[in-house]
Amino acid sequence: MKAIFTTPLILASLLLPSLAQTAAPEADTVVEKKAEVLLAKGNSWTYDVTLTIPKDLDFKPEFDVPGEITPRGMVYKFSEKQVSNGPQPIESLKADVPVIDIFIENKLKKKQVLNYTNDQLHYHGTFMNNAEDPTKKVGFITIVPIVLYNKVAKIGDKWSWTTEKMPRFEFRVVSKNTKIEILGKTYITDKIRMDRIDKTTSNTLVSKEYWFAEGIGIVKEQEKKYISRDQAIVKTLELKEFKKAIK
Amino acid sequence: MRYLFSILITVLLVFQASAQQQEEAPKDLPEKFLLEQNAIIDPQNILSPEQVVLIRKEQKLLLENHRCMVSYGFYGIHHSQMEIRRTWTASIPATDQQFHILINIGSFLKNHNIDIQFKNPPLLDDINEVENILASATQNIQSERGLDAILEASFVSINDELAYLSTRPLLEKDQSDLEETKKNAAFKAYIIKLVKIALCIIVPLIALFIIWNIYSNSRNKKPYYFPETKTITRLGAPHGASSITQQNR
Repeated sequence: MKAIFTTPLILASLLLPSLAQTAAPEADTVVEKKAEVLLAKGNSWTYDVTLTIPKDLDFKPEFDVPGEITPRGMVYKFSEKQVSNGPQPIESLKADVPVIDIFIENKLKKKQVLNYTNDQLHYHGTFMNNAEDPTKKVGFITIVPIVLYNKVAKIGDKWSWTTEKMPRFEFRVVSKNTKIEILGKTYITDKIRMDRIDKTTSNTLVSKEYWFAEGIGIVKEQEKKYISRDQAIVKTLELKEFKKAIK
Repeated sequence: MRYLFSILITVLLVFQASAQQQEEAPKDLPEKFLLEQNAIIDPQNILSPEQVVLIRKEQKLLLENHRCMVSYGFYGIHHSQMEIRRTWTASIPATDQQFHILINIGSFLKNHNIDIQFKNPPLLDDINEVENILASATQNIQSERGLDAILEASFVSINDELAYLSTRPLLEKDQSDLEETKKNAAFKAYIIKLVKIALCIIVPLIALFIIWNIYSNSRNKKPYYFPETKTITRLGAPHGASSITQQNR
């Protein structure tokens, strides 16, 4: 008789705490973020750049480098250096995000806002301080970042970034952990292809292929800006030197 | 000794035969197209022998790595794009399920014209994806100058796009399987939760029912004794208009 009374109570006492457990909010997990060293202040990347302008195109370069006439068109070769300033306060992002100065032939041309977080390289925009009023900036900053690289992405993975009044950015992983030799150095890289697509016509405006080496960054990049069906301005960057900041 | 020698020779012959058989064994990859002339359709002999060798080498690699037969077609002023396309289409058996690509290159004095055709593409979630990717590759190859540069760009670009296209269906399957597993797990968790809630309601009810049942049974089982009555006469009248009943104590 006693057993009949106690069994349901025991069952209830066993079940009720488990129910309470499922209903309770999950405990917050504190994730300790590792310091991202890729874009640490003082890190610098020097690239050899080759810019090919098709023959019939009227192009005035912003840099003082003489071009060479080739069957493909006018070819300009110059050096581009990118230097990280480390995290800087970016008003529109309401956060401190690494800013990279881009020098072409030792002249500061623009500043890029990049971030490397959770094994992803994020692009937040490009700007330049106004020469007349240094407090004013010209360029664009996006709060929702454009993901340039994702360590965990596999071959065949794709992602895109879209916003109003701008073309759609489509990314896909073409290869993983492949060897590439650049200026005599061999890197293990992931190759990513980016297409900038016109949303109304679905035409590719710009296509870019870049090779990303872990711990170094972009070691090679080839950008084709299409100006007609069979003509493109081709810009190739190849990493000449990567210097880590001295601690 | 003679027997030993003959056994040794037999073993050697068997070993040699098996090795030869291994070499001659048909490979898993279908190579019939490499042997056929239509893998390179060049009626005007635009290509140099070196270029033909290079294309054949790349075709073999693409077939091995991505299981896709990439054919090349070349035409000039004496042939049309459509002729090459027709020849290529006719060369693929109707029952063939393999992924085929034709890179059709129009070689003219001042420029080159590229178009890419395909047959039996891999099935993807986005039905236009193959078309978009190959259109992008076309644009990429088209922007090169000179036949050598075009061929070089086509090898790299097509290899990249095929790497993506051949892996994408597997990735989509994995993603869909993962979603299915997650959905099933969520449904299972939901059902378990419902069962728990139901049990929490049903168990006390059952308990109450059992308690009520036990109490009611115990009450019913208690014997009830009706009083023993005895009629007595009143004023000598046994069955009068009224009677007084008295219990005997």
